[in-house]
Amino acid sequence: MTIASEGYVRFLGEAERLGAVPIWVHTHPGEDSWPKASRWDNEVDKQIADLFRLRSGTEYYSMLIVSPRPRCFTFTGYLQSESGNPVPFGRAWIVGDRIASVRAFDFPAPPLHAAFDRNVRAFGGGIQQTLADLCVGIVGCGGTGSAVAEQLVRLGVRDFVLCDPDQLSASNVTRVFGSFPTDIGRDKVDVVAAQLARIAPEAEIRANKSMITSEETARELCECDIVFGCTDDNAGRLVLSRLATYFLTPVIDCGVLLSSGAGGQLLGIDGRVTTLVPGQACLVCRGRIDTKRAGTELMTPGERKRLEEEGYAPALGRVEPAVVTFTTLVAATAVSELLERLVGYGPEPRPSEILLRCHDREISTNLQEPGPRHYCHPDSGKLGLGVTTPFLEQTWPQ
Amino acid sequence: MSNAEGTKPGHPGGPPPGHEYHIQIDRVHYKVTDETMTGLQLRQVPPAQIGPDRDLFEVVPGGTDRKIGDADVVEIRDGKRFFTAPAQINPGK
Repeated sequence: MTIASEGYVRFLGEAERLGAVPIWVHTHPGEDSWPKASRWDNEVDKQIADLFRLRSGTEYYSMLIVSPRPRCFTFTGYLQSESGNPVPFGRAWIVGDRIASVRAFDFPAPPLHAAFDRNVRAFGGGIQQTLADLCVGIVGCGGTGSAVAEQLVRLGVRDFVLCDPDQLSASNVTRVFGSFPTDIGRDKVDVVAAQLARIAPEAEIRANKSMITSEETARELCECDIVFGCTDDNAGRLVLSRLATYFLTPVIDCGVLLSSGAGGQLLGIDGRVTTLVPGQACLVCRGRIDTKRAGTELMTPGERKRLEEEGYAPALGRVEPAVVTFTTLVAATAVSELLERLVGYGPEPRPSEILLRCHDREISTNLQEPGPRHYCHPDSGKLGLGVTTPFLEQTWPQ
Repeated sequence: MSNAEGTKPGHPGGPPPGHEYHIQIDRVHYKVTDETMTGLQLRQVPPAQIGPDRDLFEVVPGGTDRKIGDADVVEIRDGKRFFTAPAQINPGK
C-alpha cells in the first residue's frame, strides 16, 4: 500500500489551524502482531517528521502503531520534539460513554497486590489495574470530597490532586472522613491527604490549597484522568464544566441539597451526580449552575458586599444544612458511576445524571444532549481543543 | 536569485522589473524576481533542486494546501510559503 501526498498533507494544515499535533498512525494487523516500529517504520518517520513539524507549525512529531488484541488493542508510540529524545506513550485513556485505559505494549502492568483480591473477584484484574493507573482530581475536600477520596484510595487509586482552599471547622468534623477535633483549623486538603496516606503510604498526593477558579489550579487538573466535582460553588462548576469539553477529562460532579423548614424539620433530601463526557450536556446546558451566583462568587469581598447591599447580587455565605449520611451516599453514587463507566454493568443507553430523592426513597436518571451552538456541542469544535488563550476560553480573576 | 528564463516581465502598475520577492520553501528563505513562476521553476529555486520523489505544495492559510504541478503557474508574492512532501509513503514495506 502506498499513500499519495494529497492523502495526508491536508491534515497537517488542519492541525495547524487547530493548534494540534498531528499523529502518524498505522496498524500492524493480526492479534498476534508485534506493535513495535520496524526498521522501515523508522525510515518512514525520518521521511515525514520534518514535514509534519513544518506544516503543522508545532515542534513535535508523533507516531502511533496499533495492533488488535481480543476485545481490545495494544500499541506503541512516541512524541518527539525537534531537539529532544522521543518520549514513549505509556497509556491510552479512552473517553466516551464508556471510559477505559490501555497500557502500551512496552509498558506492562505490574502485578496486582493481593489486598485487592475482593475487587478483582468483582470486576477483574484489568479494571483494578486501571484504577491503579488513574490520576484523579478531587475539587472540594468537605463531606462529599473526603468520602470520594476515601473510597477511591480503598479501591486502589494511587495518584490524587486535591483542591480546597478552606480550613476544617468544628462542624466539618461531623462529615469529613479522616478528620478529628484536633484537626480543626488545619487545611482540609492536608487532613484528607493525611487520611489517604494512612491508607496507602505509597500514594502520590498533591494537596492544592486553592480554588479551581484560580487558573493555575485549573491547569493542574488538566493532568488528571478524571475529576470529581465536590464543590458547592457555582463559579468552580463553570470551570469544571469547560474542563470536560476542552480536555475531554470526564468530570463526575456531585451535589447535595437538604431543605429544612423554619422549625428545623427536614423537608427534602436531594442528591445529584452528573457525568460530563463528550456528547452529553454540560452543567450550564442542564441548568445546574446559577450563573448569577457564579458571577458574585468571583467578585472581590468589597465589591460583592456593595452589590449585595444594593440588591444587585445574591447574598452568599449562608450556611447550608449537611448530614454525613447524605453526603456519603452521594459520594458513593459518584464513585460507583466511575466503576460503572469502567466495568459497564449498568443499562444502556447509559444515563449521564442520577438524581437521588432520598426523602421519597426514589432514584431517577436522565440523558441530556448538549444545547445547540453551546461549547459542549460537538459542532462547536471545542471538544478536545486543549490549551487555548485565554485558558478554557474564559476570563480568570487576577 | 535572478529571473528564470521565459517568465513575464513586470506589468504596468506592478512592482518595477527586478523587484525581489521573499518566499519560503521548506523553511528556507529565498529571493526571486519573477511575478509568476511554474512549479518546475520553483523546484529549481533551492540550490539542491527538489527531486521528483517529492511533491511541491503552496501553503493556503485557512484552506487546503495547493499541490503545484510542474506546469502549474503560481503568482509570486512576498511571504508566500511552499513546502515539499514525499510523493508517496509506503507505510507497510
